[in-house]
Amino acid sequence: MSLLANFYSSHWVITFLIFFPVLAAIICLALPNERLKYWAFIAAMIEFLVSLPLFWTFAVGISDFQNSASIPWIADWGISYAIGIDGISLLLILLTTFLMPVSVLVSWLQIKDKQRLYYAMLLLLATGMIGVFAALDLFLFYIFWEVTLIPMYFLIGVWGHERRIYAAVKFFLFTALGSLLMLVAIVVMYWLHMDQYGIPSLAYLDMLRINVPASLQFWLFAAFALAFAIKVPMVPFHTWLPDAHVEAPTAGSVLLAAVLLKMGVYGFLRLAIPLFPSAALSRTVMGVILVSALAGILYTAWVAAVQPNLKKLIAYTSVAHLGFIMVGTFALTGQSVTGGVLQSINHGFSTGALFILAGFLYQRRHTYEIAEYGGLAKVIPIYSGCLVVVALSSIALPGLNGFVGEFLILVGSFRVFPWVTVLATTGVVFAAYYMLPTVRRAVWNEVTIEENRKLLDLSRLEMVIIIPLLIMIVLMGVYPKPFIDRIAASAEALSERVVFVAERDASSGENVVAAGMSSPDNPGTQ
Amino acid sequence: MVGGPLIGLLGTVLQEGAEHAGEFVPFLPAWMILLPFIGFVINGLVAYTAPERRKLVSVVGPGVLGLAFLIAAINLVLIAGVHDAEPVVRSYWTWIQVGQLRIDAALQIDQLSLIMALVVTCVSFIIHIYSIGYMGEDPGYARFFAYLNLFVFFMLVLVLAANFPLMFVGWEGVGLCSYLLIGFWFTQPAKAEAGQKAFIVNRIGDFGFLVAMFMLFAYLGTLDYQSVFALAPSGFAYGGAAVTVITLFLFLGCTGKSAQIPLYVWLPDAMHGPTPVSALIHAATMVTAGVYLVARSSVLFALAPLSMNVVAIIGGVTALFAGTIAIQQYDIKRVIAYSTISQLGYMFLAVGVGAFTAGIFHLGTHAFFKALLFLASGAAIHAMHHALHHAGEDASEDASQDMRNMGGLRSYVPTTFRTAWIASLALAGVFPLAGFFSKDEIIWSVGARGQTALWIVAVITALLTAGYITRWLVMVFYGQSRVSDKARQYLHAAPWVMAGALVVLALGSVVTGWINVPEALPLLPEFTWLHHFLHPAFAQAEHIIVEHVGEAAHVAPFGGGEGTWAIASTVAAVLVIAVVFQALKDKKYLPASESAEPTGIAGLLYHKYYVDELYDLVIVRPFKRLCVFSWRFIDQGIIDGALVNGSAYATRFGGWVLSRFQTGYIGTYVLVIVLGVLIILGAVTL
Amino acid sequence: MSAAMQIDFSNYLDYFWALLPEAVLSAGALALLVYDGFAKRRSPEDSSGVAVGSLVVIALAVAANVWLMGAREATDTGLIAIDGFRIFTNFLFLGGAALTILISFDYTVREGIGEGEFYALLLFALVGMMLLANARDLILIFVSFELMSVAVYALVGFKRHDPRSAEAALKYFLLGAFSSAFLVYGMAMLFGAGSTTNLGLMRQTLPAAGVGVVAIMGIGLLAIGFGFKVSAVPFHVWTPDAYQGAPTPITAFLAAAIKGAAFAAFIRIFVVALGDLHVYWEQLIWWLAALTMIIPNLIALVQDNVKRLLAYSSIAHAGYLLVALIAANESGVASFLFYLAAYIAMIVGAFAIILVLAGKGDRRQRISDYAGIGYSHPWAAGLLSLFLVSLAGLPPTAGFVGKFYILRAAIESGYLNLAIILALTTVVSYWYYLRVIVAMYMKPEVEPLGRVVWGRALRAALVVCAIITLYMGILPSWPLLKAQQSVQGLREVAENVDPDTPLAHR
Repeated sequence: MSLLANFYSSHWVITFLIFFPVLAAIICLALPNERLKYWAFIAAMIEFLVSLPLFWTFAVGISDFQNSASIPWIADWGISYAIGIDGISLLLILLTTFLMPVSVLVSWLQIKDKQRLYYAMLLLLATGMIGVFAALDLFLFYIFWEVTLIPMYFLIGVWGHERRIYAAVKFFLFTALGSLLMLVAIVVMYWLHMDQYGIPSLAYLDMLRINVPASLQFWLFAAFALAFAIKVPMVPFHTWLPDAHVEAPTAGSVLLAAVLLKMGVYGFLRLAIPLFPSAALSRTVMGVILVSALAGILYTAWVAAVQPNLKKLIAYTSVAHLGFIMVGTFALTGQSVTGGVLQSINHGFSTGALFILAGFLYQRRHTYEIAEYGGLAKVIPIYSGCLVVVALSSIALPGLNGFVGEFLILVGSFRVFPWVTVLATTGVVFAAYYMLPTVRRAVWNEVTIEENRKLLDLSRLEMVIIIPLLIMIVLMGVYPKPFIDRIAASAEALSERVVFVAERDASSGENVVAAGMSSPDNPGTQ
Repeated sequence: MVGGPLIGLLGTVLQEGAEHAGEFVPFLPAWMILLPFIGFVINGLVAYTAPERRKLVSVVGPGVLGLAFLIAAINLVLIAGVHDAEPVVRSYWTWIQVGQLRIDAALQIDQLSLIMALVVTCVSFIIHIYSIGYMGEDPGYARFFAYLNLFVFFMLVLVLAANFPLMFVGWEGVGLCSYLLIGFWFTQPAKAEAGQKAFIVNRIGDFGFLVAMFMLFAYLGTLDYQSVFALAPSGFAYGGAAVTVITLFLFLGCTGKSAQIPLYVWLPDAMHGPTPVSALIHAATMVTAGVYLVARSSVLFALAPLSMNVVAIIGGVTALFAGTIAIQQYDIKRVIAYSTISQLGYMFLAVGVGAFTAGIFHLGTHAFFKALLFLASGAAIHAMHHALHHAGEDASEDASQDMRNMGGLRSYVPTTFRTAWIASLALAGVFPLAGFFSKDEIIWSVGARGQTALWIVAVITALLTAGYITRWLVMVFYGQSRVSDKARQYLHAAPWVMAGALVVLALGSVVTGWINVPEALPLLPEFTWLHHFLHPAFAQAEHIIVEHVGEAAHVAPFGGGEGTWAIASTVAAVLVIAVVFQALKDKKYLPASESAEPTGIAGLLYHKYYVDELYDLVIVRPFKRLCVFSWRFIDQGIIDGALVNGSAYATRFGGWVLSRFQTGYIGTYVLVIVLGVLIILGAVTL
Repeated sequence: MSAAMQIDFSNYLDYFWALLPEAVLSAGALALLVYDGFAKRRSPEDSSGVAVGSLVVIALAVAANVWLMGAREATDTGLIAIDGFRIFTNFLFLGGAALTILISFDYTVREGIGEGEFYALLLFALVGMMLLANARDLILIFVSFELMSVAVYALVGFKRHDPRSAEAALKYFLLGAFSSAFLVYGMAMLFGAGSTTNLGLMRQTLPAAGVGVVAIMGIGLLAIGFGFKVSAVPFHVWTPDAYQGAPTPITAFLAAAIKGAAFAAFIRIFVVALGDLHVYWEQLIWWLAALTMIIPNLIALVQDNVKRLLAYSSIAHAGYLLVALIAANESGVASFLFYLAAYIAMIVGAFAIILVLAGKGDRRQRISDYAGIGYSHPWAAGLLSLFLVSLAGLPPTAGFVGKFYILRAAIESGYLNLAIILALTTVVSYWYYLRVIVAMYMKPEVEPLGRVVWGRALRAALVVCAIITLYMGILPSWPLLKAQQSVQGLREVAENVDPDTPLAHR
């Protein structure tokens, strides 16, 4: 099977993963209505099964890009179809492909009308997401980044709930605001490369070689960071998220929380920080980012604690979780960055599962108001069991996936900024404070609402949907090593490089948070 | 549970048989942990698929623990046979590894962990047996045993773990089980509430534990016990800030898990759980995890004298504080709950003054007699509930647990009555029962360390203990029965399984004390077996203490040797018991429904010093208000309302305003153009 | 006639060759008028004969233009330029006109404006445009301006029965005349300052004469005049009414081709002739550009009439093109060409669909009329979405690449601030483009649209537009290359790239 071997050693596998969904979407438009959902599922499964071997074919311990290729596209602009994956993008891609079949199945239950457009959009979304994680050319990256907008906009706006249009437009404009300024910054980078090397290029690796003038460095970083901060989202750019989540159909919420938010984190890791190290590590930037990340962890946790609407609550918890990830990302130690990426994956599973379970409940009760539930454990024990487990993983109970990521993030960050980390760690208390009462009000207590007495427990299909997620939640909690191994090399290389470059610039007169970042004798630095 | 010396003897014999090199090889250590987990899986599946298959559950649930207990016992015997056996670390897989950070799923089998494992498996085995009877009619039978097994699993992970993070897994795992078991009857809001309270309060402690781990890694670059304790003396300056902060954060974790001031508030509420749960988790095992943690990281604490003092003081104060509250409680279980808090205080007092062995010793003995007390009250409640229920009276938790409704039960539940006596005497520390030896050693070592104030506190608490437990006995078992005649005829003794469990525990409460007979009392050929046995675990710490603080004195603050004080204390305890007994035995209590709330000092104690109310007022409500404020005002008002939507509306409004100029009248247009022209020409020419 | 012939304007024949495409068009137009007069038609509305004829004429003109590609001119002072820029723009205008005619077929029939003059006028306007875009002499520029305008005035008012159409024509005419005055004044003053009307010569004479108030006044007035033609704020006021009132195909023609022609002339004068005086007009154009990007985008937010909304959108696009112009460097002009090509395709496509959906009498033009057609008329909605997305400048469409190119030009010449304004106003523009899409896909259908007639010609036009929009968005290499080459043909473009000045300070 040398053919297969080539497929997995070349860029073709990634290319396939990127463009197969487009093809599938086009086929969707041609199929008769009753076949649609089956085709969508088959396509998603193909996507997943094709992507799965990557987990093993990916060479562990190598930090540079694999399955990469660079094919000239707009030649005389130096723009090429450059893709490739490293430890940071691999798992994110796999997460995406893993969640695609799940989302399709979830949609089977929920989406009854306009299926053709729906599944087409769902598949297109996959193209955008995988493309973002694989692109190694800023132009390409931007295109995929924008491509994710339209489908998600449709998913929310067409199949959402009451205030869907408001939510959809808010989502679109909020994200677009960031990304257009990023586009300007990209063009500036293009100009800089032209200026310094005489040849036009937007290839990621070329961008890394650019020596960004100090006067620009900060502004360029700001432009990129804004786009990503909105996507993550970081306080105070987070308010589009609760609305989007509350209105979106379940599959939309799942992909939004699990993948689209991670595009922000990924952007920071892949672009904002490596391209402008000394800006990223300058005291002011660091301060702003950390404050907003802490606000995310603490403040949004408080806000979440008093949400009457289950989906809104989950949305706010997402902001809190992403706050942790941002702390880890900017601590730039091997552990913290690895933890950040790992936590992105974990959060994808946990929060994805939470949204799915919320969706199941909505199917039964047609409301997200927590007050409308209560005593479910008595009526639908299996469902309640799942909910409790997922909730626990979301509040990082050791032994489940959430803990590993959070622990790595915090243990890694502590050496860089102890105080911030300690404050962040208080988040575990608040996590319990928002999640457990929710569980109590929904699952425990006596059944008070009449409609809840005759609820049906999980159907077979629902089991099929939720069990894989539960398995991942437990697996990644008990034996996360394989996942960590694939991330670590790239994460460590990244943080080393960034810190090194920042140091270098610093020695040439730039103020940088040096404390703990530097000293190699410091334990824990790889 | 057999006498310490025998264990030693047996151990040597076995070792001869098994090993010549005289080194310790653990026997199936992983199975100690696996068995309960298997039990959990089986019972869990039964609970979901076929809840009515109680037989299977009744076999599997306790069975796995019986086996685990055997393994633990065998290992203990093996290790006892080796003089100063080195700890054995068995690593199964790498859990987390990034850069220098490496955390294995590894077990450390040494004297300390094995003693703990033995206590845990033993007590939980007995309590499982008891539960067969106690939970007999409960619909959630299988679920209950699943949770219990899961708890034991996590508890064993906690005590056998070879590094801090893995211990943390058990640490939070037991917290989870406690949460699930307190809220076992989740349909009753109060219980669900209590479980949640326990979890959240514990999380505050866990926060401390986490931070301590981060600091440890930052300073030593490892989290394995072995390496940490090896590096600590060189890595930390004695009494330095770093190690002090670390240990204080660790202790914060302990105050949560082991219900010490200020985080003890969850434990009394935890009494909402089924009584076996209270006995197992909230008396015998989980709540002692904090003590184990301090003992385990004795080296770190030894390096931080300040933290040691904090531990000792918190322990002493808690002991006294909870003891006083226990005097005025009427709920049969709450009395014992506060007694537990108080006893835990003793243990921290012990480890705080550096008497780690004494702490662990008391931990072991206490596990037996306190579990016994709980199970006894459980039996009483069982009887009461049954009676009231059949009499068609208010069989609610409050009614059937209020001691004012009991009285004179001794004739109805004789076994319970007798075993309760034994437990009480043990708790009061009367020779020759378990409590006598352990508590006496604590008091003694506190005195010997020259902590006069704490020593006095300890002594007073000891007398208090004797007092409240006697009151408890009297109110429950003596005097006239205060239940209605109708209900009285339904009072009946507990099923044999429960009684059996009581008896076994009673036996334990008698003998466990003898494994560590003080040298001052020449009762056995081999003195202080436990002390010698645990010596390898604490040698390093004790060495550090001796080095910096000096040897412990051999006289108490006010003169007199250990023996003298031992006798004195037991005499005092007996006196107190006698006095209180006389005072209360003829006292007439009104049933709860008719009796008024106590006032004055009594009221203060009855209301537990209003601490819950205080917390509610100072912390819980303001925080809730903060949350609502953040949401309504900051998030919806300012960020989303003013900034986000505000700017959107502003933009739209701007568009509207500008569109007003598009009147459609050519005149306006010309005007606009002319203005434009003038401005431009003005600009370019001037 | 050898392909690579030299044209040095030594004799009148040379002029004939140089103006071959224009000549063909004019002749064709006249012929069509005559034919229309005598031809016997089946029904008064049916003017398909003339329409087809005009298409043929355009085809011939295209051929002529192709032939012209081989021609070389000796100097750069001839009245009419013969360079890549001209070839490219000619193709654009011809293409735009052809598309306009294609979408007019059924429209003229539906609206009962079947007179053959319609197409003849279109061709005359086309001649005017092609001359305007490539004339090298102020006089010729002015004349061709009027030629184009007069024809278009008539076209705008062509729906005689419809008062709105007449009103639009009147406004357009009055204000047009008004602005022409400024144009003439400006030219006069430039002539006074540079003592020549030839752009080629002006390059040398003007700076030599030293730039005085007169010249500056002249530049300012010219800018105003052109500002009106390209409907730059604040001279855009006529645009919405004219666009809304005009017959929809003409609206498309106005928005795409005519504006393009004016811009081309604008560029020839400012970037080529006055390129060295960049500093004098930079400020002025900067403000025009900024305002033209900001204001219409804001106003468009509150429009409910799709046609009017697109009118404002096209004003905003003028703003973007002004950015390309002010960059005044090679990529600036090239980006202008590229963007214009993309813009013609997408705006004509958009108007074509609006035109169909509007139904007889152009009744349905409100956004609310589009509710739910995403499902009742998937193709129409899908294509309209495509064109709107492209207008909004989202990938992977021509609009995005074009915007990227303009941004690049702006940043190369250091106009970071304009680039940022462009980005922000684009976000605002998303908002109103989305409103249409929201209506089409996310609102329930109110009153069913019923069957709509898709003429064969119109379908063809739509297909072409859609293909161009996607092709230039996904595989832009070739068009980009062409655009760049044609600019290189444009001699002595004032290069305005100064890498040493840090962008942040501009």
